[in-house]
Amino acid sequence: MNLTLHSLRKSYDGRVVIAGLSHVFPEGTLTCVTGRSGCGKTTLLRLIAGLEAPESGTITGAPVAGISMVFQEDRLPPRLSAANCLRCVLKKGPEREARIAGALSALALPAEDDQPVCEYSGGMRRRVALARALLFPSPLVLLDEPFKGLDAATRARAVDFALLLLAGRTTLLVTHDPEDISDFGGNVLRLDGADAV
Amino acid sequence: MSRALRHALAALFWVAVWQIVAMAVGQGILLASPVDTLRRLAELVQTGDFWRSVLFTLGHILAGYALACAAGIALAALAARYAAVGDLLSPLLSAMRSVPVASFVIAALIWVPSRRLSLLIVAVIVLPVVYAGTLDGLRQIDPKLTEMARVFRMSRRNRLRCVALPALLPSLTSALSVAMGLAWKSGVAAEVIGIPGGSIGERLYKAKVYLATPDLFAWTLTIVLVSAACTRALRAGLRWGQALLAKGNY
Repeated sequence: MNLTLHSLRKSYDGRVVIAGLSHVFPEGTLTCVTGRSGCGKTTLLRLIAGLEAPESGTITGAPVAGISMVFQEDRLPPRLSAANCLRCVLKKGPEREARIAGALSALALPAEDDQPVCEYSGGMRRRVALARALLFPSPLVLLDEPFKGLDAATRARAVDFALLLLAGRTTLLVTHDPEDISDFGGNVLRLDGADAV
Repeated sequence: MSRALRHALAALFWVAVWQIVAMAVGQGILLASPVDTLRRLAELVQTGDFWRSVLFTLGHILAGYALACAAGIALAALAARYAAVGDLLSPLLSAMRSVPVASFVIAALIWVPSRRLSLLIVAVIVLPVVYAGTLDGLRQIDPKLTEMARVFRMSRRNRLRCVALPALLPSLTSALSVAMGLAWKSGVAAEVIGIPGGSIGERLYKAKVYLATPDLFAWTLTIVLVSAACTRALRAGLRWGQALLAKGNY
């Protein structure tokens, strides 16, 4: 099902961030959302995720059974290990442990250990947050600068893994990085304050 | 030097001071020495009455404590969810915190038999402490993690384990430990005033009436030891729970 925004409007304290945005994200495609800081990229993801309500307009096609999301911040339970951070959003099943082990390995994260993620580096926490979003089985994936803070080599691994797991899923990738656009291809939605281009 | 050794040496120092002062006073009726206290305690522990009294008081205090914990946690959860509940409870709990234990005890003696008095008093004294600790902990829950749990449709159980409890437990642990000490102080005070038969409070009261100072000190030492054991057991249980949360099977 396509994700459709119709005349979406949102403002904060009288400052209009999104004004009448209409757009269709075709099912199973990836769209890079770009634009200058403060133009409403993160707000758009929050509206789609249902974390904020639009002042007017509608969003249709967002799944009700949960959305895969990398937030602006990592948002990991700080005392849990990387594996437990992934387990707590994934239903138990025969393949769960193998998928977690595979994701940790692909993203160069330590395998099962007791070290809490609050003791990880910023880049490691970002990769755990990315792994969580990629493993969570939602048809809609919202990624807010998912490769922020990663060095070139780690970013390349993360991009490869993301490309593998995003295939066939409707994905919105918020980014400032032209490299993300060239790596992921797909459509580009450029937000410019109140207008979408 | 390890911390435990430093604590043991400090305790030994004060016991030595106590012994020296008792020897200087020279009248056991005014101040029992540590040796007299331990000798009397050694005699008491060999009697069945001693253990019956300890169990009576322990049972009532722990029952009151458990009741207060359950009510305090439930009310704090409601207050965190509905601000009106917090506003409504605030003056009542402030009053409960500031009213002297003796006033509660005397008032409660009119309503409940003296055998149940310590249970009620402990519940009344502990409840505001647990409520405040729980509410403070619930306010520490990171709203960003709550949003994350919502977006990923985390199960209620995992929300509790991954988001709520890790934020809640430090504050709750501290409140529960403080409350355990308060429970023993207020519970025994209630027993001394209400004098229920077969309680530690009754033994203390009789020790006062008969000027049996070594008995008074021996029973006081018993209260300190049992209270400390309860606090240690509680902390160990909470530490175990926290470790289980971090490493548990999700």
